[in-house]
Amino acid sequence: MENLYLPKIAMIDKISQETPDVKMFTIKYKDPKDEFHYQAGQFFMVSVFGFGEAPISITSSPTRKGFVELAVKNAGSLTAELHKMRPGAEIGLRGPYGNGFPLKDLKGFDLLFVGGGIGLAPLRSLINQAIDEKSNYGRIMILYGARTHADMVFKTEVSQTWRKAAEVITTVDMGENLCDGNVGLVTTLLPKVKIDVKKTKTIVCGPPVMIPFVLSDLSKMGLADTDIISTLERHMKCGVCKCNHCNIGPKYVCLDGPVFTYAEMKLMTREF
Amino acid sequence: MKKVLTTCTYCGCGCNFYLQVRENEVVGVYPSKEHPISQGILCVKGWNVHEFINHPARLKTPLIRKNGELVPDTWEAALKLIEVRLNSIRKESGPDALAFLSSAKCTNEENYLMMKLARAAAGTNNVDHCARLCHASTVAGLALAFGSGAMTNSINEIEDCDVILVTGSNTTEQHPATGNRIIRAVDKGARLIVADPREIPLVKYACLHIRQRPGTDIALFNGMMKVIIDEKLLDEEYIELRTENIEELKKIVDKYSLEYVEKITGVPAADIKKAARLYASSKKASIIYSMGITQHTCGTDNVLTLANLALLTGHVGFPHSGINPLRGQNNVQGACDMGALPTVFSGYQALSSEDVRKKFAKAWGVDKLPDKAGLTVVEMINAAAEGKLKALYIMGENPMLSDPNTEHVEVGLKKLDFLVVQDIFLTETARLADVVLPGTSFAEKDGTFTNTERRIQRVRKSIDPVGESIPDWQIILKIAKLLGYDMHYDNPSKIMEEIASLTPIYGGVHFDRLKLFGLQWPCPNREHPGTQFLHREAFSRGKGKFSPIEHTPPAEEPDQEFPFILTTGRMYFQFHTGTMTRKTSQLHREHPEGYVEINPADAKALGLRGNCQVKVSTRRGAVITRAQVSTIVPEKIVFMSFHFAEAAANRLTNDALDPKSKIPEFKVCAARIEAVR
Amino acid sequence: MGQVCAIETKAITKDNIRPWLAAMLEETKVIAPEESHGDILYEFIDSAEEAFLDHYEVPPWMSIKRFFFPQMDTILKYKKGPAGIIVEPAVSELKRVIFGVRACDHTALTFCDKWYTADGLKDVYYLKRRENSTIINLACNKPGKNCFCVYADSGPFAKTNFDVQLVDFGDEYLVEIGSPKGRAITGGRYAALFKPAPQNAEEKRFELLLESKGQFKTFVDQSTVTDKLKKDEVPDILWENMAKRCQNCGGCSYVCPCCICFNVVDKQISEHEGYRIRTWDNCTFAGYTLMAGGHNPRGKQKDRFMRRYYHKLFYEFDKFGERGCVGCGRCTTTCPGKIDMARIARSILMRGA
Ligand SMILES: Cc1cc2nc3c(=O)[nH]c(=O)nc-3n(C[C@H](O)[C@H](O)[C@H](O)COP(=O)(O)OP(=O)(O)OC[C@H]3O[C@@H](n4cnc5c(N)ncnc54)[C@H](O)[C@@H]3O)c2cc1C
Ligand code: SF4
Ligand code: SF4
Ligand code: SF4
Ligand code: FES
Repeated sequence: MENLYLPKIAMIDKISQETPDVKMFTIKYKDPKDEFHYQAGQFFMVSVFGFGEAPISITSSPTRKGFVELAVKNAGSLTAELHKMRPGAEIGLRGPYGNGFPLKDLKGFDLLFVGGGIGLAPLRSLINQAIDEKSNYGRIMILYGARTHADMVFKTEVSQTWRKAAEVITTVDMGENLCDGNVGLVTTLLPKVKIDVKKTKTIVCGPPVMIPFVLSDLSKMGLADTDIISTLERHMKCGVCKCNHCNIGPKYVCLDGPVFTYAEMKLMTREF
Repeated sequence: MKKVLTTCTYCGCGCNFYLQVRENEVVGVYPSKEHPISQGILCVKGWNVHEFINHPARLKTPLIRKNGELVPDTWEAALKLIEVRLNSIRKESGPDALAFLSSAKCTNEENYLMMKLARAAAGTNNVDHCARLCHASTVAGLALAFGSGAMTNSINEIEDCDVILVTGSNTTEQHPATGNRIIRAVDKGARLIVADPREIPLVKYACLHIRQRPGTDIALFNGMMKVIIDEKLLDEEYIELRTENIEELKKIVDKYSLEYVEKITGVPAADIKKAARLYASSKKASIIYSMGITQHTCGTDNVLTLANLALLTGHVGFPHSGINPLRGQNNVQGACDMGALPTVFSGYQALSSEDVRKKFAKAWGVDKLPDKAGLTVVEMINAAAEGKLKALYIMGENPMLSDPNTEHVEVGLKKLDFLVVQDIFLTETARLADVVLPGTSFAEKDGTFTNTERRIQRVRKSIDPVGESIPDWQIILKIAKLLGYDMHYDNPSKIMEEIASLTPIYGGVHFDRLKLFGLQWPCPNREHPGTQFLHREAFSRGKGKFSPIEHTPPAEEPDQEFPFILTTGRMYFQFHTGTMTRKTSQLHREHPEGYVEINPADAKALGLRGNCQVKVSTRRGAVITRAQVSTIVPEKIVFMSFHFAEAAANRLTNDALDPKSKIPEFKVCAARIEAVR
Repeated sequence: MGQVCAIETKAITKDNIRPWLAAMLEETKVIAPEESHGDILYEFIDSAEEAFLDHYEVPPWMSIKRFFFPQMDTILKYKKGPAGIIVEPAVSELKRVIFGVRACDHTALTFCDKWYTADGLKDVYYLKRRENSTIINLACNKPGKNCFCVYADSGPFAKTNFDVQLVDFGDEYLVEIGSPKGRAITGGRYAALFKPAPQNAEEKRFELLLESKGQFKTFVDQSTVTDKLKKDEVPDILWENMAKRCQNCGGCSYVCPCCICFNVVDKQISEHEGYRIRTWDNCTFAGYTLMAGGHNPRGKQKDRFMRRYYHKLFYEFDKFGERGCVGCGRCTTTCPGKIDMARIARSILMRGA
């Protein structure tokens, strides 16, 4: 019987400071025989030994092999410890877990990404995959909002790389936006893109307060609920549907999610 | 051994549970179903008690300070150092340059030995413990009024009360098992009056919530008494037969008209009247109080006022009727009973009596015992700061978090020539020590705890001591020997035999008699079944005594500079200074950090949002913590718990003392709140 | 896992129970009810004499859950050495027989089996212990005052899936054998302790079952409750009123043989080594769902409290066809707020249509 709770040892290869409280970690398995197989939208249970485990979305694209990238916000004891680590340090990984984005359903469509804050992390995985496999998709549009310009993650990609293959618009809640000047909530960007609602699928990810607003605005723009895709976050302890922490009604975010369509989310009206 | 019945180490309710043991580790816990207090129920702390016992952070060897650092060393080296230092300090500066802090977490046997160590071995009465900080005023006040300073009734009696007045006790959070009896009583039809500035959870069950301003309890209860006297609701026959000094009381109380009281307390006259009538006109009425009453500069007077109220209506000396101070720590009742106090021997036998001193001297085989009253906890710290106290021996206490004005405590402790701390974890206090000795948790030793209702219950060893730790009673024996005084006991039951022989209220207490139900003192002899409620036909002192009391304002009142009243207390998921609960994952997760509760109106005026960082300052210090915006506290009053070293409420509290019992005023001080940008 | 195989029946006289236990003790660890300070508790016994075989009010206090899913269980150990981090799992291999298990607890185990193997994801810590255990059921001729297994379809006699079930026939027990594991502890070297089942065993068993069923005092119509939850017919105010009595003790989950929530935390022994434990958890705690950043999807006590009941009586029923409550009545004893399963179910049912 395979032990579900046994992490594989991995090593931090590179670290980049994305914002004052977000770092991106490039990670490789310690045993070269181990390979990463994952889909965009999945997550790992990351062990920092002595501090426990936390679910972290994969932010690298499965099209780029040999490593994974994790963007982590310093939010508590485990993440703080991770932020103290240097390249070469060892962590544990279990996974990948979760359903991932429904690639099959997205094929042939225009993709509209709406991200807020660190929520761009799971989107980035799919964005880079779509860019790498551009022929599979129509237009790629990226709307990204952060609290301030300093809080923007993946700045090089947002301000340069992605702009070569996709339409990118950013905004900040307050202060100056050095990327393209917009100030305001991410919802204010929606009217700025002209989309063909029949041909577009949108993927939304961000803080819990942002998601409901974006989803209802998209719905008002005429997108079908099944074409609006989002990820949900819950307190998780196992990642394998055993600890019971992450349920929303009868659904388990670790197993049935974290990716859900707006149509599915509407069925989970009750929060218990 | 796989499961061992024992008594809870957290609060004073005294639940019994089974510790589940595997390979010398405690891995689980569950309540006893048949035990009179637990009845198959525990609070969340009890249900998680197993986790700290084998925690890797337990102290496993003695530590000795070398070049400023505490480093592990052998018992031999640690004891040698203690021997040299304590003896030389005693020789140079006399025995009163030494002081001993005993522990409400430790067993009766250990507390008894500690006071014996201080008195017989070291030759000083400088022995005290944290009861000073919670119920010294109860002991003083109730002794004066009734002759005995303990809960008059039993926890299970509460269930059948008609009226319950809860004041200054957040019972469901701090004494969950007792709180549970209050809820059961309400379910059975009892009426509950809560007199507390905060909207504590019990308020949901109350028919009346009185929110007096902190520090105005005397006025409130005097007002109730005036109503009772004016409306002739007093129990004339009882007063005639069982009390004295009623006329004096009437004289004082007369001026507490409802208008006057309303002005002082902020409580509407109608509510005072309602409370008075409810309390006076029911047969089975019980008063339950805790630190909200005792921790004031008028703490003893507060207690006396409650005693007056109960005597006036004939509500003491019967089942279900009485005055019930809830003791905080698992064994704070026992530590007091054992005489770990500067003025009494075990069983509250007065140090000042020559006969008593002679009796103990004879039994202990010493020529004479010191007769000068010793120092209390706060006085010890002051004496240390002044350089008069040179050496302090602390067993299982953490004054660096638990005592008022901790900055001053730190100064005092650092000034000492020699500090020994005996504990199970490296607490904030232990970090300052010259020598740290690893004691054992309640799971690693035998003995007894006495719960808040005077029930003496067994503590049973379930695992061997962790690492090189040694049960605290054995450590005390070693220390006594270093001071040139030999004590020998095979096991704790032998210590209890000595206690029984010297302590009339424990006279009939022997380990073989302590079954599931324990024994409630007074229990004078082997045949005596123990005592469920006190003062049945007569008060311990003969007649119940009325003590007329005037309202006195707190030592510090809000002003321009410090416009808020800061009051402090405890929260459900944490216990005391968090040494154990913060090492328990579930408890820590539920309540990981300290905060200050502030009313929404005040928060708005200060421009504070929920969860934002604030600075709370008083004349003694400042701490940074989070704001919890909540209507639990009324306007102009803020509340903090003292469990958290990072936001230590006791850096702020006032160390002004009640002149009668020397208890510090934890419950009221003036504070300022500022947003941290 | 105690598959039902061709049911075989035997009998054993009451005098032979201790010898049977003693014989098993020679080969394996045995857990049996013990009396301790008036409480009846399952524990490892060292000798057959320690087992409590007289009548007592069922079920024993605290279920057998903790022998499969301990309150605090080390799941792995880690060490940081020069060659990096080494992680070692800590899976218990101890073999044992559990004697005197009541139908409710037994059904709860089969429920946990489903949970711990669901979705093709197998929990090795639980399943290893399960594999290493043989269970001897003891059918209940007289239910306890809080029992309602009969309405939860889990007792008072176990129907299937047991290794061995004993039915009290007065001087002797009927021995029903339901699995190869059951055969192993009733045949071979143990066979001499048993005798053939009495002639009228089937009728007698049926009578005893009927008699037992007639003695239940707690009535809980679980299927109607499930229906009402599904149709969303329970008014919020009911939940509100019940939830505000919750004292946050966690007891209801801790005592419940069907509660499987856990929390995972690491403990450091030193900078270089430590271990990871999992502990019982309870969905009525706020920290259970609190997320980084302070958002709590079930921020209100009412939501958390409701979740417990929706989960047990609705979601789990939909997923497994079994409810997360077997009617053992232990939460009735342990809940200080008196808001246990039976009380909640009664309140829901009393709310009319
Ligand atoms: C599917 C999923 C994907 C995620 N992806 C990312 C990501 O890509 N980048 C990123 O920075 N963060 C991500 N998170 C959030 C991240 O898991 C939490 O920030 C992290 O668990 C906090 O752990 P900590 O030990 O540092 O905090 P702690 O000190 O343990 O606690 C801080 C706070 O976090 C809460 N918390 C604890 N454990 C969890 C948990 N398992 N899940 C959620 N909240 C928890 C606590 O209740 C507490 O309120 C993701 C979460 C989920 C569920
Ligand atoms: S109520 Fe008090 S004695 Fe009982 S379990 Fe809780 S802390 Fe321990
Ligand atoms: S919910 Fe209560 S009655 Fe039902 S199985 Fe759990 S503990 Fe037993
Ligand atoms: S046992 Fe009762 S009081 Fe305790 S957590 Fe469960 S519902 Fe709440
Ligand atoms: S994370 Fe454990 S059940 Fe989903």
